Amino acid sequence: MTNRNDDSTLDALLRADAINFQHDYIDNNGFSDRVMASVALLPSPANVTVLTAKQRLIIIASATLLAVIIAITTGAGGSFLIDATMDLATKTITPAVIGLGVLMIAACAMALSAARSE
Amino acid sequence: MPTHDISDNDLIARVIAHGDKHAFSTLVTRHQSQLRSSLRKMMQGNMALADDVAQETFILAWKNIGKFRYEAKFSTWLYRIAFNAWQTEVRRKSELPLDDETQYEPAPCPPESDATNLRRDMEYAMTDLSEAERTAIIHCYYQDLSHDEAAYALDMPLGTLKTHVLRAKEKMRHRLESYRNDIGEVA
Repeated sequence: MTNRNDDSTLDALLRADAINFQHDYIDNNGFSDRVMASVALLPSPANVTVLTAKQRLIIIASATLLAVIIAITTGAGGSFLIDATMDLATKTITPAVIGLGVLMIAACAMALSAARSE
Repeated sequence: MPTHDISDNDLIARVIAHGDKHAFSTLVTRHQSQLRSSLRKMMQGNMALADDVAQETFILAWKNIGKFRYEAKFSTWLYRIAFNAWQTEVRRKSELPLDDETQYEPAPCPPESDATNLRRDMEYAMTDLSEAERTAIIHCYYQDLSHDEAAYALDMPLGTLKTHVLRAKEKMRHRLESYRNDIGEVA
């Protein structure tokens, strides 16, 4: 073996080995057929509506806003969060409690959506 | 027009628009060799597992092709899926977590001047590398990706990738140097 402790030498060796590696060809040998047999069982991607992260966030935020407005307007007035907390403490299901629940679920959904779009 | 004359991006557009399986099959045939080679190298020759992960990669590519944004090359996007699929697979099988320092230790080979032994020498030099370092070297050299592309494929910050490459090369140099010294002592 030649002296291979020099950085440029190692770089050259890696590149030479990489060229050989890239020229190696693995015969398909039925691989594509196996993949396509699995793909045949799946729905077509043309039928799948893919929402962008921005679209997902807009939908979730809009739904949240709507739910909160409904909760506030159908509630008995006063502070929405305080009402919801008090109702929750007495285990009473009111529009404010439902609104708070929706708010929390929406927050989780937005966090998950944001994480998925990373 | 035969599909083998069509660019990757045009084939992808056909798959997205019409669910064209023939176009996707062409993409699979076109990229299968390089992807399987890379996975085999990442998995240190475990061909069965590499082919399983390659198959899973193409299935995931089919499912998620609507998310392909044409910002990266299709092959780079595939490598990213493959890397994630590989991590999932090894975690599922509890074999080799990414940063596991456990190494295979092949027996040193006697020195040979024949250039055809280059691959064996390089493989020997890579035995000290962690999985992350090994993967970084494979992506940057053997898959011929730029650092930016490799960072995208491995889903890691550019600085982290460069650190892995530098550390890997340092270890490889050290390994090759000590190997040369061992051989010198034997001789």
